[in-house]
Amino acid sequence: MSALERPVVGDLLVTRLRRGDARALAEAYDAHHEAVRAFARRLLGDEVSAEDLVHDVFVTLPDVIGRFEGRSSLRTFLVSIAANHARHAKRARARRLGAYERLHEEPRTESTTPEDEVERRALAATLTRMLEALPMEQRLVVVLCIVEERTSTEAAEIVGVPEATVRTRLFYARKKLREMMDAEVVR
Amino acid sequence: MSEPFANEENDPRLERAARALAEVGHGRSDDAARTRARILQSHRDKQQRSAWLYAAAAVLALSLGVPTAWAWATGRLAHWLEPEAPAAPSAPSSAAVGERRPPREDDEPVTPEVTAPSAPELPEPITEAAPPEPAPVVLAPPVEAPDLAPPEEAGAEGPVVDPAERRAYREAHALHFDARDAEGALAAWDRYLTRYPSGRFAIEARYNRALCLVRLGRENEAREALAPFAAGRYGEYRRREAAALTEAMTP
Repeated sequence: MSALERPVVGDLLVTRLRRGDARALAEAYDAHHEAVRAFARRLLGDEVSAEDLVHDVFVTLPDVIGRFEGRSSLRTFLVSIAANHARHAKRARARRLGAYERLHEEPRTESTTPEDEVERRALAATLTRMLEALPMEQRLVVVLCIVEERTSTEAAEIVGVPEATVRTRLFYARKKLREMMDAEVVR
Repeated sequence: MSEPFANEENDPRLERAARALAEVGHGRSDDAARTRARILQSHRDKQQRSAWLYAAAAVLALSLGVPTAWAWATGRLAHWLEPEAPAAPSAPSSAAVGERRPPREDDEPVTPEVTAPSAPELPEPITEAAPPEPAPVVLAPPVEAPDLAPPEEAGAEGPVVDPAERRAYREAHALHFDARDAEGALAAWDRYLTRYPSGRFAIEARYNRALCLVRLGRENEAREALAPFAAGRYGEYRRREAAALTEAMTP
């Protein structure tokens, strides 16, 4: 647990964020941007959209911090803001642009990376492509529970639905992913 | 706690892919510092905007409050609000005023011989009810309104460069680059280009409009909007970017 994740320091930061303190916003960014960006990349699958999402999350933070009750960590709260933003339809459109950019970049990266790294990237890219075929609600639970290995409780809190719903969504998402993987093997 | 369910129905392929995605999608980025600066700038802009709003609200409150206070102090406010208490039977004079107003409204449909309905309407009850008082009551509000309006109009006429064009551009620019609202920005760019098709910022507006279309996934329109740039109609301005974006959109 980092210093900023400790309750007292976190409380102070939250209080300052509530006051609209710009330095508090910068501190929150420094402490949590990597976690938010990692989540955004896994969810959206491309740099541009992920960076946009990180921007939107932290710009929104001072407006929504009033809703933060301190039951989870500030980081979890930030990820839940990201999840909410990602649900927005515009994101899906932005993601398509990101997909175009990825298509552009793929040939360049392949030739310069070691074999295992290439394989890992290929695997990650395959999963990202498959995730894009899932509805956002299912994609969210896959990223939270399978990729980021969060508990169902935490995932439910982030997504804002009961745990049972998380489980159901995960069940159907797994099923679809398995089908897609089978189809990929056959091809 | 509920961790196990992530491992339910283990599928090694999915697990391997998920691990790969977790490792590849770390949170470090070359753009982190730029995004940080962008966030802080957006925050400052937002604070500035709300400060302006507060200031505008204060000016509005003052411009409405001062005349109202003056009217209250001079007893004219009561006359402004008079129609709300027409049935007060206590004072005979006010009752007379209250009774006279409704018939005035009835007169219009009933008496066709009244040739100018609007002209006699206002003066009639006022002069009859209380000659010295109503006259200023009717005149006071119109005096306030022109007082407020002219300074704004005068300010708009002042500068030589068309400030409305600049405002329209800035509005679209803020929606596009600060708020990152592609739909809102597209509408604002369209507004700008409709009003100023050959305006000072028309070329930039056209390119930015095309970017909005790309962001919104309206590929055909985006391609169409980017084509003149990619073809070099505006020289080198955004030629390469437009060509690259068009190529990226090719299925």
